[in-house]
Amino acid sequence: MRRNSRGSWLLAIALAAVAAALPLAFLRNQYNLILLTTVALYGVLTSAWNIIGGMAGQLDLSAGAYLGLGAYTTATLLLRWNITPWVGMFAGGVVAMGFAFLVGFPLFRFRIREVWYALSSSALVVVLQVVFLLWKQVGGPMERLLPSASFSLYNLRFQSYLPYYYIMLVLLLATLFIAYRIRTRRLGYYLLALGDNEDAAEVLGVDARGSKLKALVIYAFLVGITGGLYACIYGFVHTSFFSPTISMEVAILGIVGGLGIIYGPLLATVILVTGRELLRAGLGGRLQSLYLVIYAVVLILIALLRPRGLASLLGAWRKERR
Amino acid sequence: MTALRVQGLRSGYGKVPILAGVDLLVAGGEVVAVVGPNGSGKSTLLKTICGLIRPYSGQILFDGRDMAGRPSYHIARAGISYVPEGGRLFPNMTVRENLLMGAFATPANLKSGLLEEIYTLFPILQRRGRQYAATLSGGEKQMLAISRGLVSSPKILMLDEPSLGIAPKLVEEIYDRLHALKAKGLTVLLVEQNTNFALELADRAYVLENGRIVLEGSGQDVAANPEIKRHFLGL
Ligand SMILES: Nc1ncnc2c1ncn2[C@@H]1O[C@H](COP(=O)(O)OP(=O)(O)OP(=O)(O)O)[C@@H](O)[C@H]1O
Ligand SMILES: [Mg+2]
Repeated sequence: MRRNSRGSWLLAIALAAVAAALPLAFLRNQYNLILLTTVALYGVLTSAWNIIGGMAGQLDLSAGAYLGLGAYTTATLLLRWNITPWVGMFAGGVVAMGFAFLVGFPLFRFRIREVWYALSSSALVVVLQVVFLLWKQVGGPMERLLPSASFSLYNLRFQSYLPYYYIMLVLLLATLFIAYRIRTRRLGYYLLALGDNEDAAEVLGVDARGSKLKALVIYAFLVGITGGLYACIYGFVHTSFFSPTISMEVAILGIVGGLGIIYGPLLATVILVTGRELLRAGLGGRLQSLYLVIYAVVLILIALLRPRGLASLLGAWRKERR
Repeated sequence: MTALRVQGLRSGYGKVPILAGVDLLVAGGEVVAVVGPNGSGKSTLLKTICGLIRPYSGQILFDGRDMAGRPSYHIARAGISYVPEGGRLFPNMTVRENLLMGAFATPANLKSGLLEEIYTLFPILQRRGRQYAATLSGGEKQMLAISRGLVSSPKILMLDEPSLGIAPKLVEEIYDRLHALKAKGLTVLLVEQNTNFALELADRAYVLENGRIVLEGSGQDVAANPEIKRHFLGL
């Protein structure tokens, strides 16, 4: 048991080192750096989703809401009060967290679950999109450009994608670590039990509402920070950041990766988002959306062949070795 | 010493009343059985005591504190352990994780050696430790459910039909272990249709019919009551 976990740690550190070294191979090619950054960004979102979706079993479709809140908070702080995004993204995380609390409190109070939770959480994204569209002081129909100096550490503005990739990688490692800590401690057991059978968990002494609220708030915080970074990478904010598509994709990758398994969503993200982007690049010229069709077919195949997710492939392989 | 005293308990599902004023007493170290025909409200009684259903009125005094209307996790942490009908395990957790869950959620946490005690009681659970609970046989599931209810070292264990859907030989085994637990002084409130086993184990028994207690007495007395035999218990 102990040796096994030490091996896992070594493997994790080795993989992190590989991820950090990857850009060395791609340094001259900005396209590849965008790809790496995108994969890392989705990795954060899906790994954070795993806490509420995979462990607590709430089919959450509101990643776009917290992403947008983080982005707008960061942008507004910078544009209005010249507060650096280094601070702004954490403020974005806190705003997302506060919002998640306000939403989660009644939802979990009235035990909204399954499709009803999925519907309410996805409605949230659309509602926020409209609110920011109408909120002229902060949002509005036009993009809000961030200060466009070609380089500014204060404004988190870089000429290359390289620094963004490394910042995202740090956030990804932090997210994985947080997910791991939760999974191996009391809260993780609570969430898994709630995801499995809520009544049974409650009569064993699990505070369902409190535990789910914790999971939701941690998830929102991580996604909110990511939103701040997202705004800096794009150089603007727009109401399309409140994206139902991204929300959906995050949930799909989380499910395909393997519910509640720490590295599952990341594994799915690395394979599928990379594959999708490469397909898009390879086929994009000829057939506009063929890559989406192939992507969808692959997802369906995984769902059919591996109902416990991609991570179960590794699980099976490890069991055989034992 | 009284562990649990239920007084004038009325409850049901939404507006449909099921329990029409139940009075019941479980003394510390006592095994009490509640028997009665299908749909008489036995499960509803346990669900109300453990807080899954809010009572309309009445008191659930446990260690002198009224538990009525409190959230179920409060009640569980106070020391009332409930093993639901059919076990309701966590299918995607391993056997060991299911057991740990039983202890995790209480402030007392897992007392050292308690897991070993459980394994002496049901050795099969140790061998099945790394297996997902969903893959256990019916009898093993019930053993795990009872064990999960025990690892929190509860002050009272409430069992709903531990013999449900299990082969007679395993029922015997499970009741054998319940006798052993009783000998150790465990307080139990047991609901059963399998009255032979339940009344043999119980110090005292109540007969529930249409949401009311219609008879109360020692296990043997209830088992011997000709009226009861004929009407409800099909002995
Ligand atoms: N969730 C529910 N919603 C509405 N009515 C319910 C619900 N659960 C049970 N009932 C009704 O409550 C009554 C009592 O049910 P309960 O489960 O308490 O009976 P029981 O004595 O445990 O029966 P059995 O021996 O078959 O387990 C039944 O008429 C049943 O139909
Ligand atoms: Mg019943």
